[in-house]
Amino acid sequence: MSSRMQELWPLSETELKPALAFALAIEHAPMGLLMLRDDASGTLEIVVAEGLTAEQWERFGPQQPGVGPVGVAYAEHRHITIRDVAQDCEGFQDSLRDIADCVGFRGLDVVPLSLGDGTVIGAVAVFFRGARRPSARSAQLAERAGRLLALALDNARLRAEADRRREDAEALARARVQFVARMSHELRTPLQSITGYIDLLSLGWPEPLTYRQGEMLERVRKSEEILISVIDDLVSLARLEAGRVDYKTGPVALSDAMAMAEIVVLPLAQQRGVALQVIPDQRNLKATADDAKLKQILINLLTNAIKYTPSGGSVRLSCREDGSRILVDVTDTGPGIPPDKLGDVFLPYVQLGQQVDGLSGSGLGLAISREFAQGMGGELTVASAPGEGSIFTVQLERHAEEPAWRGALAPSVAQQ
Amino acid sequence: MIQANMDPTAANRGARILVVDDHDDSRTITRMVLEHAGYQVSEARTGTEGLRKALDERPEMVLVDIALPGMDGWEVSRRLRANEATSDARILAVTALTGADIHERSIRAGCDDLLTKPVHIATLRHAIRSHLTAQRTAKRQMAGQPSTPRAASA
Repeated sequence: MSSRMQELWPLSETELKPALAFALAIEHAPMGLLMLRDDASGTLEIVVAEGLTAEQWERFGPQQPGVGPVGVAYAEHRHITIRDVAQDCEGFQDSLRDIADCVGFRGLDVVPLSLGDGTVIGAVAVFFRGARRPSARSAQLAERAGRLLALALDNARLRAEADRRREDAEALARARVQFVARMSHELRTPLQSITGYIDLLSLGWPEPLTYRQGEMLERVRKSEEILISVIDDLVSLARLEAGRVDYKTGPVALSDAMAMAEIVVLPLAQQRGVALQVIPDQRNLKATADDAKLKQILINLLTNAIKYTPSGGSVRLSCREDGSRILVDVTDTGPGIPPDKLGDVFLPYVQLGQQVDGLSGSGLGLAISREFAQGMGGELTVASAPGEGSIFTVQLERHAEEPAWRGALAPSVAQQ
Repeated sequence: MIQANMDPTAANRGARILVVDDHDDSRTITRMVLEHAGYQVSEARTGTEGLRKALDERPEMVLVDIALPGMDGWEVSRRLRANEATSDARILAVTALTGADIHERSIRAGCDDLLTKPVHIATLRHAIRSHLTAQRTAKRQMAGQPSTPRAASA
């Protein structure tokens, strides 16, 4: 097969040979050809042959649609049978006899390979050494075989294409992880200078700073911290997209995760004048989750809510149960999200509205949080309306408590 | 003010620390901080130079960058561990590399700990202090010195 045909029909000989063998067996024919459409040239190319020498294969060559028995079978979607070329070419040019002599056949049967939707992907030509007298039933069988082969070959092509696309996507994701990791390294190295000198200066080295200088240095430090968190987010997202994140799931007490997140975001809430309400979990709910990632999700959601809630508003963190699921809600009294933007909030690199003063981020927090939630077998959803605030809800698997009797029973079961 | 912050515990004062890093600012900052805190600091820009200095100077601790030109920090760590003259040194990897396997690979190469750049001075100081203290405790036990009065009487 030419490389162009290999590209169009990414099928191997081990897939093509049995296809032709099947057609030959159905028709009790000793030799034949399987031809597939070459989209670029518009001709039919031989992709596999049985019982033919290389020379005979060459002599047969590519076929033009509408010309010769194969071309007509293909172009007109019909089954062509020539009983005996020595007697009658049945409307085809007499040159068919030369080919018949060269290949060594008298009877010829060509079945178009048609898919259900009317497209024809090629044709199977089988050759008989003697004259041919096919019954109506055998003709029908050959046509059915043609349709089956067409489907099988087309499926194989689609599967190979899907594999190739997936491999391409995986290679791309791997390359992106490597690129981002390298960028992260290149960015962190100069950040070491920045961090180090900020630390030295703010420790009063080589000489104490004035109050104003200290204030300015504090702003430099804040910006630097944002820069580091953006780099961390980019690396996390690239790794998530490449499926390179491991989840260590186990029972996690919701009250612990919520308390931990509260400690982290409380200073921000106070600074922004937003009331942070954490509704204590009274039922000792446990979810099956990755502890660290759940905390990260809650911190991201709370930070986000606090950032977008105006001073004087409130952000509430609460949890509830719903059958086998546990739901954690982060509710804010912010401006809400318009319906046409709701679908965008989890897309990476999308940030709604204006940047909030001094609180810029990577815009990746929600995308990462949802990836984390899904990676733990959960989900992250949002409900919101303009002027009515937003509710982000983390859904998690409820941790199934081992019934006490099972533990008591285990040793005796093991002994049996 | 700064003295109080940066003092190592008295017992660690004077400990020799070798800094292997090809990034000039990183080395300079580390040297300033550590010398001010009373440690003896020497620097190397490459793994090869670092190994040579480690053999000459027998530092108590080596701070090693991983992504060094030529021999990387992991190889430096393996060779430090393999040589009896340097195998006792505490090795801290200080690297801008991030990734799930970086920590594990560092530990496997023989590092005692890993700090990810950018490292704050306070973090670095704390890590150095606690590793030097752990090293002293380990040495005392190796030398057969009693760790409890009861062991002494036995």
